[in-house]
Amino acid sequence: MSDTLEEQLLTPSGTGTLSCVLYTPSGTPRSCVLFCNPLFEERKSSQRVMVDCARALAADGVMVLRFDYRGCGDSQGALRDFTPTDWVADIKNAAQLLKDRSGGTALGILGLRLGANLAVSSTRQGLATEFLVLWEPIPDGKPYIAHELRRKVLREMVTFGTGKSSRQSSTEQLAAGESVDLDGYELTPEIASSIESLSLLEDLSAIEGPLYLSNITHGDEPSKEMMPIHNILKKKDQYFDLIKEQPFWNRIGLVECTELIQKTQSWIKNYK
Amino acid sequence: MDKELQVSFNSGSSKLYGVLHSADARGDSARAVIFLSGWSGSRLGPHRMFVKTARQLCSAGLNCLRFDFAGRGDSEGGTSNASIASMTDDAIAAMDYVEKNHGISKFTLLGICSGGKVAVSAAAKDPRVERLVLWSAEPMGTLRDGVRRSRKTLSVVGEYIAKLMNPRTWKRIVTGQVNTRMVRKAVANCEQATPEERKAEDVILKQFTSYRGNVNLIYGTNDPETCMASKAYETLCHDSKIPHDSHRIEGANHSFYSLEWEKQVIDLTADRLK
Repeated sequence: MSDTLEEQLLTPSGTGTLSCVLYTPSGTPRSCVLFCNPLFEERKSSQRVMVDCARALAADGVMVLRFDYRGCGDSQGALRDFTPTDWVADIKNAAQLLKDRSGGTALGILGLRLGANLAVSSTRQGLATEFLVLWEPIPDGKPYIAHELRRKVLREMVTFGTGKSSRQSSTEQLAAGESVDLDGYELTPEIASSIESLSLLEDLSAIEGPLYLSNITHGDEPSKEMMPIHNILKKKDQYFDLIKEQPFWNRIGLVECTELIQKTQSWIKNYK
Repeated sequence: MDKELQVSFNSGSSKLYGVLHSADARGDSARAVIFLSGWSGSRLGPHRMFVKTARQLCSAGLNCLRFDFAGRGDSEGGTSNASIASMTDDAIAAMDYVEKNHGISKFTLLGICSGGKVAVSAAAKDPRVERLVLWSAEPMGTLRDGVRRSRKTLSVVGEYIAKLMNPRTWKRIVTGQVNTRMVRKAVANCEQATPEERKAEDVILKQFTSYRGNVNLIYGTNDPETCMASKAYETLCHDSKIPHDSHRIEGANHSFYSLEWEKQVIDLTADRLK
C-alpha cells in the first residue's frame, strides 16, 4: 500500500476556484512539482497518465499538485469565459498553494502539450521555478489551432461521410469574432488568437536553468517541428529526450507510458 | 446555493474520488443522480459533458454525484483490473456512500457507452435504482446479436482520426483519395465480446427483466450502433414491461461531440428528471 497521502483540495484563483489533487509523500518532500494539463479533449485522454506519473513521483519523495484551470475539468466556470492569460494566473495561484504546503521546497513544473507552453509562459512572467519538465509542448501555436480545426473536419467526415465545415470557414468564423464549436468545446476568438501567438522557440530561448523536454514520436530523430527546439536546448545544455510512446493525449483508450514516466522520474531525481 | 463537494469513498480495496453536487435545502432530498462514465473515461465525461449536466441538474434541485471508477480518472486501482462487474460494485458503493452520508436512498443512474451497461447491471441488483438514463448505451450479452461492435469501437474511431491527421493522408482526403465511407464501415465492424463476457452479461439481462424503475434511452442517429442498440434495449424493456422511452438526437455521433447535440441531450435528460 502506498504511503502517499492523496487529498482533494480547492484553491481560489481570480473570481473562481480551482479543483486540485495533492500527492504528499511520507517524510519531507525533496522537491515539489506542479502539473499543468493540456486543453480540450487532450485533458481527458491524458488524465490517467498524469495520475500515474504523480503517484510515481510521490513514491520518490516528490510532492505533486495536479489541478484544473478555470473553465476546465472540475474547476469552476465555462471554457468560453477564460483565456490563456487567466490560466497562467491559475498556474501561479496553484504554485503558491503547492509552495505553502511543501514548506517552500524547490518548485518544478511539469506541463503536457499546451500545458507545457503555459508553464513556460508562467515562468517567463515571473513565477520562480527551479526546473521545468515539458512533455511534447506545442512548437508553434498557429499550426496547433489549424490542427484542431482539421481534426474537427475529420471527425465530421467520419460521422457524416462528408465534412460539414471546413478549416477555412472555421478560421473565418474566428476572424469575424465568432466562437467555433470544437467538438463540444467552445473555442473563442480570444482563446484561439492567444494560443496562435505562442512560440516555443522564442519562449525557450529566454529560459535558463534545468529543463527536460520529451519529444514523443515514432521516429529515431526529433520531429521536424521540434528540431529547432532541439538545437536551442542542446546549445544551453538543457535536456531534449526522444520517447517512443503513443500520443496518449489523443487516444480514447488507456495507455501506460512507462518509459516516459520512468525517464521523467529519473531526471527529476538527478537534475542537480 | 449549490455546492460542489470533493468526496471520496471506498469500493473494495480502492479509494474512489468524486464530486458531489449538492442542491441543499431547496433540492429533492430523497433523490440523487449518479453518473457512470464510459470504459476508459472519467467523471468529467466526454467534452466535460458530465460536469455541465450535473451543474444544470443541480441548479434544478437534483443532487448529483460524479465519480471515477477504480482504475480510472483520479481513483485508486489498477487500470487493467476494471471490468463491468467491478464497475457495478463501484456504482453500488457510490449509492451506499450517498445514502450513508446524505440520507438519500433513491437513485437515477446516468451512464454513457459502457457506463450504460454498468447502470443496467447495478439496477438489476439494487432496488434503490428507480430510473436509468442511458446515453449511447452499449448492447449487452445476446443484445449484441446483429450489432457488430465491441467496447473498442471508439478507440478505433480515435485511431482513425489520429492516423488521418498525418499531413499526407489529409491531402489524400481532401483530394478524394480516401474513402471515408469505408472508414465508417470499418469503425462499425469491430470484434465481439468474449464468450465469458457474453455469458455474464446474459445473466445480468435476465436479472434486469425484474427491474421495475423507468428507462430513458438517448442515442445519436450517426452513432454506428444506434439503430440496433436502441431497438435492442427498447425490445427488452417492452418485453419485460419496464416503462421506457427512447429519443434519437438527429445527426449526433456516439459521444455527442458538438455543443448543439450536447445541449439537446442535457435538456432532454433534465426534462425527464423533473
